[in-house]
Amino acid sequence: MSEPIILADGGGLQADDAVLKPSRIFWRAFFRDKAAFAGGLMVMVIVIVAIFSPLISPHDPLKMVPQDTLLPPSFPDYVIGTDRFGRDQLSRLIYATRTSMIVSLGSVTIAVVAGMIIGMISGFYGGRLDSFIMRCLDVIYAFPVILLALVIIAIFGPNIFNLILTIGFIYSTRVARVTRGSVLAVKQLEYVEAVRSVGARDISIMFYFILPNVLSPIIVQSTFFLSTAIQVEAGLSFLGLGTQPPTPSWGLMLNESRRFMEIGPWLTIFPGLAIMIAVLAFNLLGDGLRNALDPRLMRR
Amino acid sequence: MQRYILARIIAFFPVLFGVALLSFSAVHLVPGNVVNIMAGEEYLSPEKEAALLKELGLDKPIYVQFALWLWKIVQGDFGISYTSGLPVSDQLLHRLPVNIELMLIAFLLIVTVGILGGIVAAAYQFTWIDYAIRFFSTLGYSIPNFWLATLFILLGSLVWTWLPVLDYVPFREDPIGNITSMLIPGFVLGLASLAFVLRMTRSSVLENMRMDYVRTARAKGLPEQVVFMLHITKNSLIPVVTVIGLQVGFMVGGFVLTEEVFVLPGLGRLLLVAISSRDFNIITAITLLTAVIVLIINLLVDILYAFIDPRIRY
Repeated sequence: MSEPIILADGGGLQADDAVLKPSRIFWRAFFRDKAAFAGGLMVMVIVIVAIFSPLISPHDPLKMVPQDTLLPPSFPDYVIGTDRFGRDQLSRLIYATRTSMIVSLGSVTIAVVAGMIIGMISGFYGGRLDSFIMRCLDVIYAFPVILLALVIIAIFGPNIFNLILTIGFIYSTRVARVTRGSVLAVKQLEYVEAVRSVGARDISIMFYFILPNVLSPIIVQSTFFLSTAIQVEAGLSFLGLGTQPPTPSWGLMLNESRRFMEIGPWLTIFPGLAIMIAVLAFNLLGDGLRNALDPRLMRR
Repeated sequence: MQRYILARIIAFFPVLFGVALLSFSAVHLVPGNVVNIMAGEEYLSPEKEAALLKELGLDKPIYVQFALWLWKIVQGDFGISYTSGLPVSDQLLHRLPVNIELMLIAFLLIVTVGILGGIVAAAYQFTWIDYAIRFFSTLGYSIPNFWLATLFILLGSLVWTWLPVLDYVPFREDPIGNITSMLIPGFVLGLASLAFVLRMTRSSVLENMRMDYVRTARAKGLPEQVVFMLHITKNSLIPVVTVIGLQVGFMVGGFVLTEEVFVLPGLGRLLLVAISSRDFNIITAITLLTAVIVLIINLLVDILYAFIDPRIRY
C-alpha cells in the first residue's frame, strides 16, 4: 500500500522541481506517463458518453423494431447490429455506460465517505476501538466480493439502488483499511502534535489537519475500486442479479446475448469490449495517479 | 517467531466467530420467514405454520437458534436442503472436487507463469519484452472473466475448433478428458490473479535490484546470474507470497461466474441455484465455507511468511 506523500526530501526529483508547487510536480509526472494520460483521456470520454447518452445515441435504446431483429452490424443504421427484440445495440451500449457509471461512481462515493470516517476514527483513536473495528473489517474481508454482493442482493432484491448500497458497503471496508493505515503513519508526525498542543479539537485535527495528508492513497485506491465496481456491476447483471431489464447494462446485454451467441456474435463481442475498455481506463488512470502521487516510485 | 504464530492463531478465532455470525444473520434477516418460502404458493394455516416452525427449531429465540446452528456446523451438519430434502453437507462434498480442481489449475498457472513472467519482465526492463509482458498483464486483469469465458466458447465453436471440448466430464469416467476440459476454465479463473502476481513480482524484483545488498554481492565478485537468481529473485518473492495468498481468496469469488459460463457442477452454480430457489441452508453453508477457506489460507500464508522471512517479529 502506498504511503502518504512527504515531499520534504524532494522524493528524488530534479533540482528545478523542488521549487514547484506539489500540484505542478504531480501534473508534470502525470503528463509524462503516456499510459496514465491515455487512461485519463479514456475515462473522460466514458464520463462524457454517460452524461450525454441521450444526445449521442442514434436510436431509442428501449424501442423494439420487430422487423429488425438480430441484424448484423451495418452502416449507418445499426452500427453494431440489433438484438433479438430489434433494439439498436449501439444505443443500448451508450445508455449502459450511464448505468455503469451511476452504479460505480455512486457506490465508490458511499464507500469513500463511510470508509474514510471509519478508518479515520479507527486509526486516530487506536486502542480497543481500533482492534474491534479491525476485527469487524477482517470478518467482511473473509467473504469474496462477488459472493458477498450476490448474497446481499439475493436477500434485499436486485435493483440499482440496492446494487449501489451493497457495492458501496463492501468497498467501504477496503477504504477504511487504506485510510487507517495512512492515518497511523501521519498522526505520529510532529505537526499533528503541534496542532494538538495549541488546543485543536480531535475532530478538527482529524478532518482538517490529517485528512489532506492521507487523501492521495485514498484517491489512488478509489480509482481501482471504480474499475472493480464496474466489473462487479457487470458480473451481477450478467447473473441476472444486478441491473434489471429493460434498463441497458453491459453485463445484462452479455447475459441476453448468450443464447444467440452463434448466430449473433456481435451481441457478445461489443458489450464485453465496453466493459474491458472501461476497466482498463480506470486501471491505467489508477496506475498513473499512483506513480504521480508517490514520489518514491519516480526513481525507477 | 512462536509468539507471532501463536498470536496470529489466537486472532483467527474471533474473526471465525464473526464470519459464522454474519453468515447466520444474513439469512435470518430476510424479509418473510423460511416456512412461507418452503411452502411456496401453497396456503399454510396458522397452526400448520407454527408446527413447521417448531419442527425446524425456528420458534426459539434467535440466539438459541444461532448456538444450536453453530453446534451442528462444528459437527459437520449444515442442515437439510429445503428444495431437495437432502443433507446440505452431502451436496457440498459432491461439488467440492470441481472447485478444488479449478483452483489447482489456476494456482499452478499463477505460480509458474505469473512469477516467471514477472522475473523476465524485470530482467529485461525497458525492452520490448518488458513492454509486451506488461501490455498483456494489463489486458489480463482488465478483461472480465465471464466475457473471456464466453469468448472461449464462442471462438471454440466457430473458429478454433481444435480447442479441447468444454463439456464437463466427471473425473472418474474419463480422467484425461476431465482435465483437458478444465484447463480453459482454470485459465479463465486465474488470469486476473496471474496478471496481478506478475506485476507484483516485476516491481518487487526491480525494487530489490537497487538494494545495497545487491551491490555488495556484485562487489565481492559474484557472477551476475548468481546475484540475480540467488539474491534478487529469492528476496523478491517474499511479498509475492502474500499477494498469491490474497489472490486465492479472490479466485474463490470468481467461481460463481466461471462455473456459470462453462456450466460446471461446482459450488458456484449450486449457490446460484440455491439463490433462485431461496434455499437458505445451502446459501449459508456455501458463504460460510468459502469465508472459512479464505481465512484458513490467509492464516497459512501469514505463518509461512514468518518462516521465509525471519525479519518478521510480532
